[in-house]
Amino acid sequence: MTEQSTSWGVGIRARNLQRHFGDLTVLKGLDLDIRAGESLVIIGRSGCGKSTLLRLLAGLDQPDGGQLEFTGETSGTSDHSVRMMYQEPRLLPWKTVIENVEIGKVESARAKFALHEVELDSKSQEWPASLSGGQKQRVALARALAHRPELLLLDEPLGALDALTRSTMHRLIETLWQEHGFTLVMVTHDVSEAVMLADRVIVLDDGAIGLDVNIRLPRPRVATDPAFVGYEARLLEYLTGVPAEAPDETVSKHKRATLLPESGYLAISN
Amino acid sequence: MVRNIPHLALIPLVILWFGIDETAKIFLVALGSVFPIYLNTYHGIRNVDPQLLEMARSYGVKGFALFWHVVLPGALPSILVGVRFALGFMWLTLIVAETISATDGIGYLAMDAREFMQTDVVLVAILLYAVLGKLADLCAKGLELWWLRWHPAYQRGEGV
Repeated sequence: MTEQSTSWGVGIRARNLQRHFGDLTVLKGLDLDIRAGESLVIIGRSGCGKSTLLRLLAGLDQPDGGQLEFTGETSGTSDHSVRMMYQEPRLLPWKTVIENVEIGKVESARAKFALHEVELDSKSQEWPASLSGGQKQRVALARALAHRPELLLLDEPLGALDALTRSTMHRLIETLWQEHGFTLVMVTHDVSEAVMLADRVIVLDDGAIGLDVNIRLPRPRVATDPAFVGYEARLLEYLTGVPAEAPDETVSKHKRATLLPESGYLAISN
Repeated sequence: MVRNIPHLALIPLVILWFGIDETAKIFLVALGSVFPIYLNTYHGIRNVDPQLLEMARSYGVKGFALFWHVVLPGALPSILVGVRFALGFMWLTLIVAETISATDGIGYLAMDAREFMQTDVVLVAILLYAVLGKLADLCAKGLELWWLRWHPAYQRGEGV
């Protein structure tokens, strides 16, 4: 599904991944393969372990059991460049926008280019406090891009933004992902966002993969496309646990098989 | 424990140890101003946003760079509050030290003038202290305005 000819990204292979917090088991032997350059979106209810999984991938946390390894072509070094974008922008308020992008020994030319990519050249000398929420997240995105990540992890970075800004950010992230070719792993609550950005959506349920769906839609995607709505409905049905079947089960199952993902049948029946 | 002893209570002891020359005054002033700075610095460092620290570490910032770019600027507002407190304590301590145990200085001048009922000299001494105190506070405020210029609360001269 990746559209770049040469993939810069790194793949991930996780086997029997476990993580406990005290008595609470958050990940129960999770197996997951992520292809290099793929765009994977993880959704699930609160507390299903999606943020924990992302933190394990980022190396911010260590698994209690199982294996986690990076696969595929590397950029030459054994040290994979993994960068994370958080729910909050986490900009250093005492550094200007450009200085924030330069954090971690980034050449200034590269920082400038990254800022240009998120279309914030004009704000480079401003303090973060003077930016809007969406602009702050764009700076955070530029900061991650300036490190030329092979794997970019997004932890609900758009959760706090308004719908319009979010939709602009979707396009921006999609474009940059296509240009750079990094592997994208994103955690979100928003089913529509998942279908918009993902090659593949996995739904985490109780510490394991509950549903694994390939989204076969051409990019750029349109949220009003019936196939798009169909995918959304299927994911929502799984998440909410509300069965979308009509009383006559055989008929409805037949319908579902034939109509999905081309139609919004399930959304209507819900 | 040590910081619960009012440093002015140590004056008799300090006179016994150091006599009544400069050393005694420097010791008292240092003692009076170290704790407000220490406490506020400690508080400031403890309160540096752990999310920023995590972000910086995951972007490869560590060691001295982490201190210089993240911890110190994050603690700076608190440190400067400590500095301003310390400046207040500094003048207070100096006045008391100069008044009780001195052979010269502004405080001595005032006490001497009191002996001779020279009210004008006493007033000059008070004014002198006021001006010096104000100057020191202005310097501290200037540092705040410059170092905390990124802080919304300190922009456009709206310093506290």
